[in-house]
Amino acid sequence: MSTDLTSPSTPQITAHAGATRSRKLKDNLWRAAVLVALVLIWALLSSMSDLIASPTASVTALGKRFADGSIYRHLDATLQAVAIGFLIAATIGFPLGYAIGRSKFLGAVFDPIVAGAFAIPRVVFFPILLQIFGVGVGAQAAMAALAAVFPIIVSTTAGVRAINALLPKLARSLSLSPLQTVFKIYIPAMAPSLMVGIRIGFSIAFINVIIAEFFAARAGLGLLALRAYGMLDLPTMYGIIVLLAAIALAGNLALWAVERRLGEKA
Amino acid sequence: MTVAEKTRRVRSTQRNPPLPRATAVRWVILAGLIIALELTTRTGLINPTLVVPPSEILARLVSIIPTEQFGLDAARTLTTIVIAFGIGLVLGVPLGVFLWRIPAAGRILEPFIVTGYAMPTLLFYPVLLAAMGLNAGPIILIAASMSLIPIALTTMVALNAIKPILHKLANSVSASPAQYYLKVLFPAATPLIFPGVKLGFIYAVIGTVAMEFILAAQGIGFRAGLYYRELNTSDMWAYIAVVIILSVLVNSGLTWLEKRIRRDML
Repeated sequence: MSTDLTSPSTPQITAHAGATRSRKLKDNLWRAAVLVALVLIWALLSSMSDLIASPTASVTALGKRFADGSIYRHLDATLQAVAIGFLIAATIGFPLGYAIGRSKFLGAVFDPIVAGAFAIPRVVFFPILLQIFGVGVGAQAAMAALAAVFPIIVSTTAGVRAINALLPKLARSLSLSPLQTVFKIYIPAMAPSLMVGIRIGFSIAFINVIIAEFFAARAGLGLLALRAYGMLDLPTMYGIIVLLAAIALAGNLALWAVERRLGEKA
Repeated sequence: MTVAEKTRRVRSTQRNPPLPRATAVRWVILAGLIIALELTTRTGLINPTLVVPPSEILARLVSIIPTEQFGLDAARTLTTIVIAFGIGLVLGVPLGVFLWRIPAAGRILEPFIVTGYAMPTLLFYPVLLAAMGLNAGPIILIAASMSLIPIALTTMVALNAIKPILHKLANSVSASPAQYYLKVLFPAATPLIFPGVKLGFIYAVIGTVAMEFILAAQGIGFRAGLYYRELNTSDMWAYIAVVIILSVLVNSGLTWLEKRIRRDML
């Protein structure tokens, strides 16, 4: 998962006139202002309640965890579980979603099953995963995969169905091989909805790993946050929440930016 | 593909309700899965401490459902879901309207709201427990925050997608603001908002059951987690079955409603 903090709508140097550029810059400034406002609200709330640690204390506590290196084990466990789980979900979900979307019959058979499975809170299967994989990253990754696979199937299916009917005809008239048809015609045409699947899949994998870590884990940021709370070390807990929110925001913004750009092209 | 072509031919000769064969195949697949599960657990291919035979789950369900405890759990879970969804709807729709009314706000805030999908709000659960106590309050707040996001986003997208001619029409008949919202915008946007409302409800279900599962004093999700910790596999599976049935029922009901609403549009 990409977690770098590249701004999503960095002004494009090549395209568009200066007007759009300055608007984008203005938007990003406003977004930064929103973030600052959120921190200020947080600071205000922390001064009113003992249950909320102040922003500075939280960031300091988090910094201390990074300085003594005790956080890396947990950060690794969480990110690994999200990455492995998401990759498994993508490997299964994209081909399956493609097959369901391409065939009317498979669609009629599996659409209700996929939709029904999507509606089930998949966390309830976590105990079984724990018994199969043992307490550890394996169970968390399996949880993430199980949670992310259905949204990926749903958006891939939707993407295939939205393909312009002319494109398959074009492929046939150029007598492309099936592989060429998929890679040169379908995947580029579906790119925006594939990105939606990737983004939602990442989000759901991420949340489910944290839920699973709350339930049972050996290492992980969710576990660390819960432990910090148990020891009434509120600054550390809020520090970890900030870290997780930053990961969610950065990962999501990066994916969303790619999605936006693909959507504009299409 | 060949299967699909065949069914297309079958369908064109029958012209019966949509793909009856697909429905039959779907039920055969589901029944086959249940029978396979029964056989593998009965013969010991799958460890019975892991998965309980479906027939035994059914037997446990029959003895659990009439109990008073089940009634209380189900009532707690259902009211939590409905209240959380209600809050999500009451806050999400106006938020969506606001983001549409003030396009700059929509543009600036959209990335933050999109990130809401990946925001692990459940991290605040321990703090909310400390502040509000071990009752439905914290779960309602978290499930409502999960339910609000898709509702707000689709409301904004739906209102943006309304044909400009409708705004002109409202103007030319000099509709009052109330008429403009209730008689023009609301009917025009409802078919497009509904998928988001449906997703919001599903998220409310998922959030409620997942939080109950982690820590609660009552509720269907709580019971499934409790029986896992007590190593009571058959009762755990019975409650997992309840969760599955509840989600599938909710999903089918919403899909039915969606079909009706969307038919009105066409």
